[in-house]
Order: sequence, then C-alpha cells, then structure tokens
Amino acid sequence: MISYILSILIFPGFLFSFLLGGLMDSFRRKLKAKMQLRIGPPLTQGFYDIIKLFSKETLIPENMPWVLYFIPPIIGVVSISIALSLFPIPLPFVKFNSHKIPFDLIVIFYLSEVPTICYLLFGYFTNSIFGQIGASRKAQLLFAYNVPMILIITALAFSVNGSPTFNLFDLATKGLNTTSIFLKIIFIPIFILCSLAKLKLNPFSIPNAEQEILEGPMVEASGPALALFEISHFMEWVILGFLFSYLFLPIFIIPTNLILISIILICFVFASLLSLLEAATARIELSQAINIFVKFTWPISILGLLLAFFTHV
Amino acid sequence: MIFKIGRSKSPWLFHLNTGSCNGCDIEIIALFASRYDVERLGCKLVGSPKHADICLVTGPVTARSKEPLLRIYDMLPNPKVVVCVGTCSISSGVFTDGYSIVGPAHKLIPVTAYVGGCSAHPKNIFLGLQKAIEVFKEGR
Repeated sequence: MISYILSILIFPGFLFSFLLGGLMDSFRRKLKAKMQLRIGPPLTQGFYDIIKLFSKETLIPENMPWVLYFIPPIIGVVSISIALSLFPIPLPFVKFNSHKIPFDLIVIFYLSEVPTICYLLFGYFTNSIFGQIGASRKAQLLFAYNVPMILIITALAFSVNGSPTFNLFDLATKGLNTTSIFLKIIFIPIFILCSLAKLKLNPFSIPNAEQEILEGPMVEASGPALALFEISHFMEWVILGFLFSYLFLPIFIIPTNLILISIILICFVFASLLSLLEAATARIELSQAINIFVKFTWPISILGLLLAFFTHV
Repeated sequence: MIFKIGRSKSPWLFHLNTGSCNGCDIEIIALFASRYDVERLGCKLVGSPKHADICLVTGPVTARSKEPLLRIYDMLPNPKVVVCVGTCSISSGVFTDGYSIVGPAHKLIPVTAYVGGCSAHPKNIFLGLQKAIEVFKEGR
C-alpha cells in the first residue's frame, strides 16, 4: 500500500514526472528557439512559470462556481499521476512499482486521456465563447487522433509472441519478432502525429490557437488553476515519451541499471523530434487536420491491425 | 523569496493596442524575433489577459478603446504591471486634443514604465521591459 502511494506521489508518479516533463517542455522551447536562430529560455523555464503562476491571483468568472473552476485541473493531475505510477520501470534499488496489472496499458491509455477531457470540460464551464470554440475543436480532434492510437496499440498487442497481451511489460519484452518490428517501424510516424495532436503542438495547435481564439479553453484560467493545467501538460509529455520508449524501442534488452537512464534519454530524443516538427510546420485548419488523420493514419493503422491479426493466427 | 525568483524569470506579456498606428506593435513583435529575443528572459506573448503579468499598451487611448482598456486592466491578475510603449501612449503625441482621444493611458490606469519614440525602438522596449520586470518581481 505504502509502495503504491509512493509510486503515485514520488517515483514514476507526480514528482518525478513533473521534473522530467518540465525539463522536456523547456528543452522543446529551447530547441525551437535554436532552430529559429534565437537563444531561447533556460532549461528550467517550465519550473519558473509554475512558481510564478502559484504566486498570482485567481480570477474566477462571475457566472462560474469556484468548485467547477478548481476540480478539473486537480482531477487531471491526479489521474495522470495514477497512470504514470502503473509504468513498469525495473530498478535495482527501489521496489516501488512491483505490482502487476494484466491490462495496465488500457488503464494507462484511458487515465492519460482524463486531463484532455478535463481541459475541454473547463472550456465549456467557463461560458466564454473562445473557451467553448476551443473545447469543441479539441473534442473533434480527440476522436480523430485517438482511433489510430488505439488501433496501433491493439495491433502491437496482437503481434507479440504467444497470446495477445495488453500488459506493457509483456508487450515491451515479447514484441521482438519480424511482424512486430515491421509494424513498429510503420507505426512510429502515426504515433508521432498523434502525440503532436495530443500535446497541442504546432500543426495541430488548433484548440489552443493563441492568436485566433486566445488559447481556447484556457482563456479564463489564471493563477494556480493554470499552473495545475501546465503541470498536467508536463506529465502528458512524460507519458507519451514513456509509451514511445516502451512500445517502439527495445529497452528491455539493455542491463537493468541503465533502463531508467535510457528511458529518460529516449524521452529527450522524442521531445526534440516533436520540436523539429513543430518548428517546421504552421498551424493548419481543423478540417485539414481531420483529413490527415482520417485519410492517412486510419487506413494504415487498420491495415497494420489486420496484418498483426492474421500473422498471429 | 522563491516567488520572487519565479516572477523575475517568467514575466508573460499581453499586448494591447488602444488606437495605435501599428508601428509600435510591429516593434513589439520584433522583440520576439532573433535579434532581441526576449524569450531568453522567460517572456511569452500570451493571448489572454488573465494569463499575463505585464501589459504593453500602445497608442493614444481613443473613446472606443477606453472601455476595453479598463476591462482588460481589471482582468489582469495581481501582481500586474503596465508599460506604455511609444510617444502616443505617453502623451497622445500628434493626436493630443483630438476629438476622439480620451487621453494617454496614465489618466485611466496606473502605469509603471514608459518607453518613448515614434515608433519605439525594440532596444528601448527591452530596457523598459527590464524595469517592469524589476517592479513585477517585488509583487507590486
């Protein structure tokens, strides 16, 4: 029980992922600045932002109860901390996460969607027209990028040796056959596109467009509520970096002592990849974004799922 | 103490045009480009006044923009700082006593720093911003 609480609060959970996610987000901003021939903010910028936001006043809109103002960001942070605590990170010296759940990948996936739901609910609750436009854009994008995400995870689950599994540890250790490696290579671009949409980065920064709709659902957020949303955004970075390293890279063939370090390194490589794509592209329309997902990623992921299913049988 | 460090390293800017000719606005955008890059100070141009710490006001305040200026000043969460950019926002410039001008911004809201010039040079805006950050850091 104590180990479970510790894993939610400290190690793969809240504290660790807040630190790693803050560094990843600042690294992304720094790298983007370097690509635009600027100096960019320091690597600790994300933490300064959070500290400052906690020192600011909270302005709650008149027609909005304070409960609805604070509950969505808190639920977002708590759910994503629980999702992160389920990651099986083998460590030689700490035994925080020794518990094993047979279908943990599904739980992780759905808990990691809760902050997004909270984000769009907050947009609807604020009664601001910009918030509601942003929330409706996010809701439409959510359906477009979640379908290929679920399909590629299911295809990878079917492509492992032995029976299909949704356990992340089994998926990472048993998925080293020819079909699985072929599928992983095809699915990496789809995963990266979905990650860009999930993190609201540049070609898909449609829900939080600063210049058009004033950061969408976040338009009325201020002070600690905004800080909590930023923290859950940092933790979304970590969850996607972890999923990238577990699903697509063979991290369990290296020695146990080096696994955590290699996961952190892979997270930074992932952040730099997204930053490159973010700096190279401009914002597109919602219809174009949905076209990209429906016309390219859905058919490829469905074909991949069929391939995995038939080669498995 | 820790809040002071956070505030001095992460001032978020909101840009408000109260009837400017767009000259100062372009110079503010130039601040975020590669030559004067204020993102290295942690500055970010935010879309919503509720996220902002420092409000950059450009232009003389016209009758139409008086109400939005007052509302946006109320929307900025405390602690907040206002910087007037350009001659027009300091003294209404050539528009002084115009039929549609209700006066420079400091008649309506408290202003912390002034940046002169028509249009204001990005280097001067940068210096004014640094002064504003000093005041914002103290939480006034």
